[in-house]
Amino acid sequence: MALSEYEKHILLALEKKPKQTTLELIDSTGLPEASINRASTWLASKELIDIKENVKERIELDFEGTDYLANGFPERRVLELLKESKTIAELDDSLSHDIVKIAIVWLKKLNAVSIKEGKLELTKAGQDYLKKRMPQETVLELIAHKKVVSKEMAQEMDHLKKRGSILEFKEYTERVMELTFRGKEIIKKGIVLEKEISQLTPDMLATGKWRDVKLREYEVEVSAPVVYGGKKHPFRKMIDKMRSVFIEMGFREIKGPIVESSFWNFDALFVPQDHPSREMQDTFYTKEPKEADKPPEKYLENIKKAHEEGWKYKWNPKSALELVMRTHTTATTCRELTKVKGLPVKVFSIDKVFRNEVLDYKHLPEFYQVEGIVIDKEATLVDLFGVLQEFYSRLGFEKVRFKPSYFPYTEPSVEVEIYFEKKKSWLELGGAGVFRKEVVKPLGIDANVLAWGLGGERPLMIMDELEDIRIIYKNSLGWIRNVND
Amino acid sequence: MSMIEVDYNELCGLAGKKVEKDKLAERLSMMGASVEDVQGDKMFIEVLPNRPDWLSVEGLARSLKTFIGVEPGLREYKASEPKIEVRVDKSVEIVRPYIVCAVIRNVKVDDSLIRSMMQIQEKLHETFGRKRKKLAIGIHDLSKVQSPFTYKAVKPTEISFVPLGMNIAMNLKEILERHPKGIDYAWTLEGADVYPIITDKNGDVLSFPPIINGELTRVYEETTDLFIDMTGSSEKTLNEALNILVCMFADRGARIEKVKVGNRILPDLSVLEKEIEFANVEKLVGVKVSQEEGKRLLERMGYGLAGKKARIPCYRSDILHEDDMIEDIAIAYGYENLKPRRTIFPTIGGKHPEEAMADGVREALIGFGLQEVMTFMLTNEEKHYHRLLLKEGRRVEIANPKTKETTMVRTSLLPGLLEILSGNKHEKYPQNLFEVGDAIVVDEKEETKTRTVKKACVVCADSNANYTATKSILEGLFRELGKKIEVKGKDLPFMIKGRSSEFAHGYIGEVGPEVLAKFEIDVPVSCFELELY
Repeated sequence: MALSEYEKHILLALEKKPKQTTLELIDSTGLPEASINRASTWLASKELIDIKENVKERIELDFEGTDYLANGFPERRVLELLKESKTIAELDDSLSHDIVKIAIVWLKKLNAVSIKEGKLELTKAGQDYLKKRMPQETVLELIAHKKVVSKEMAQEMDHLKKRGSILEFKEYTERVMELTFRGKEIIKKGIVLEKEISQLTPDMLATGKWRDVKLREYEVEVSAPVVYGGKKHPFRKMIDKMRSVFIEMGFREIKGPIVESSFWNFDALFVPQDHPSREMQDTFYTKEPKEADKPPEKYLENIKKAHEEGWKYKWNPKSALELVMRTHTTATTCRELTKVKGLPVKVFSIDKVFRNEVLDYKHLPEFYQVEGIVIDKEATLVDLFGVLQEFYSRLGFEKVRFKPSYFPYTEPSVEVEIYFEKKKSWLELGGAGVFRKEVVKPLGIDANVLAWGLGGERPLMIMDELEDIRIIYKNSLGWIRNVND
Repeated sequence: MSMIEVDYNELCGLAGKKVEKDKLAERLSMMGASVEDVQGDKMFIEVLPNRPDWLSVEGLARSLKTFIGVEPGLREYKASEPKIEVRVDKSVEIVRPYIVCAVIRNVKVDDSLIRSMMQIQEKLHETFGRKRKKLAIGIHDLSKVQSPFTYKAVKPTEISFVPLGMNIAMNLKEILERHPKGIDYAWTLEGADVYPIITDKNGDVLSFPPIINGELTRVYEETTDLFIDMTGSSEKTLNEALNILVCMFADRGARIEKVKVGNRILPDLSVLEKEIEFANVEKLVGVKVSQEEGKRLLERMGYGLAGKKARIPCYRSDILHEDDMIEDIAIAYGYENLKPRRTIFPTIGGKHPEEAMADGVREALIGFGLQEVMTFMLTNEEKHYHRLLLKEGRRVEIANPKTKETTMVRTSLLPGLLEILSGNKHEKYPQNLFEVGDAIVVDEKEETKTRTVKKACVVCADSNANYTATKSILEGLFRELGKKIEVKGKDLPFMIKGRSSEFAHGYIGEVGPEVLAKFEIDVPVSCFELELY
């Protein structure tokens, strides 16, 4: 059995006296308390000793006690001054009056002083105390050095207790180490003490001293202190995974304004100006700055026409300028339609969108949308299904299904759901569809545009079994540091 | 979107076929009416905004009946010639310009009809009617009043009547102030000097739209003939809703009778015809549909087909052009039967250059052992400025925040990171965190008057966090980015004096104790923030 140097010391000490407290072991081995505790725990785990724990009271020095130990009791300080007799006033010049008062009380109790003609004078006993310890000093030192206070001194200790702020009584757990039968057997086989070194040093290597030392064997199976490395936020990991899947599939990443004009966020997407989604309780409008520049004239005219012919109302160009916190990244993909130079086009964005929601366990006022479009003359609804199926299967969701839905800017419109194997349930992710002619024609596109805008946070919530969406943005280090997926 | 409640047995009864609940839910959702919950015989169904005709069990059953093949094809609705007249006075033009009406005869008023009637009214008001502003419906017992009726605008105190649910007469002003519906909907008449009213030949009040009907024309179980009025701001919307409502009664076996409203005869239940080219189905959906199959699929969705023209039922107002019909054909075909196709549209993918740079910064900072966090962009002035002892600067302010937490958009990331440190005091230190994220600055030169800037912020919190250790990271980051950095000492309000500096597009320093106290952070924090682009 491998034993460390300290363990061997303890066993050898216990061989002489098979049952010892920690304090006794400190004495008998000369090791520091922490080493004794650690080594005896290991010995116990090897069943070489038994450890019993008893709750006991321990006396320690309080602040006055600490002071007296270092600078002497008041009575000692006064005693030293009284080598020549002095008046109280004279003593007060050297020490504070309070200290002098306390000192005199105690010196009197020891019959060490007497008063003659208004002066304090040492008695015979007092003279003796100049050469030897007073009883209180003996007790204080015993306690300071954690020694046992003898019965004769018990009364003295009571005095000290009463003086206040000198001693403090604390409960502690006393450990008693006792050799087991196995421990005794091991000792019988003989324990050889060698000098062990824990750290190999450059010096030992340079001088060759390493040949003369034994490197202590470690408890290699013990768990090490916790360290946390740096890593991505769990949601960023998911976002990056989705971005790389898009890129593998040939999609180009795009970005667009976060503070967006109503024109690109709503009007260009054929959302009528009285549509509920444009209302103040759903969309964040800005107070400052308030209005965007006018969009290019040709788009303005085309969009006005699309709205007035399609929805049959008077379209107001002024409301199209109102700035909003973009409610979907479809505003960004919509802008992209004006930049098309050749087909096919495949672009994506995974970015922040905003809704005027109150933060609660399932609503966020800002969240990520996973957005993509494919533009091609040959692109159709079944190709949209194919792209989404491919995308989510690469993320580990094998089953994707589509249900009829409605959005003002797509026709057909579908609801996208992915199957979550672990929960055996379908999860709604968001909408997809083919952009309406009313959207693409005014922007100069003569092709089908497959589009989707899906929730970013929801798959993470499902995968990590998060009940509360706020966890993602709370950044509790307890979660971030320990989550692994 | 609206949620309606229907009775399973009633739905099957009206659709003419008993379908097992699970199967029914599946069929409904593949038709576009998603079943959200089933409690016993109660089914809760989500109705899409383009299908207001599904806001009643009758309308839903009508579509189900064709969809599951019980009786496919177009259902035409007829109305008999008008006997009732509504005169429209010019005075309504400035307050609530449009009114449409219809009469329903021989109706059997029972519990289920009343429930369905109330539900469709409420749901139409809510969505289609934009909370009664755009459309409001009144349904009356026709026998209590006499034609001709008049729709006119009157002064708020000119007319009094007993509103529904009351037993005393009130004038219009009093109704807006005291009747519960008056209080709820007074906003729809805000700023008006005159209010709309419908009266009969004798001056008896049918309705004070869009607020409340008169008690006089309350509908009881004995009622057999109904008068329907719809008023609002969009004539198109009113006619669409009127058709939906009268068809619902007709499906219950009642007879629709036209009404002369001004110089129009309503409702107009004629079938709209639009050309359809089945070859275009393939172009949009990706599956070939023959003429014959196309016809069958249209009929499944309640259409008829005459030659090259689809015949669209009178209750469908959402069909703007061919694509809308093609969507219906795809739904009839079944989305579950549309096989996803993996077409390669050849393009080259790639990261946005700015995001690629942000990725590089993240990677470098993680290499230095820092933990990434993600925080919100919306914040408020207290957290963003006051706690950092900063004066409020130019920023995007939110006009209509629901809470005090979201009154502005961040211009820097540091306050968010300090808040995270504040929330993680019980976690093990050191806490060395970073965020790479967007902030928004006001910029008049931009089309949207704002510019998104990508920033990186690092905070090091530990009992011995200090300027030098953090500067090592900053300099290391610049080394990774292949850039030079030169800092120049500069005191910042939120940093310890003499322990902060600035560099091109950023700052670094030790956070001042007063700021730490405001964030309730118990350990020293050193930090830097820089703009990436």
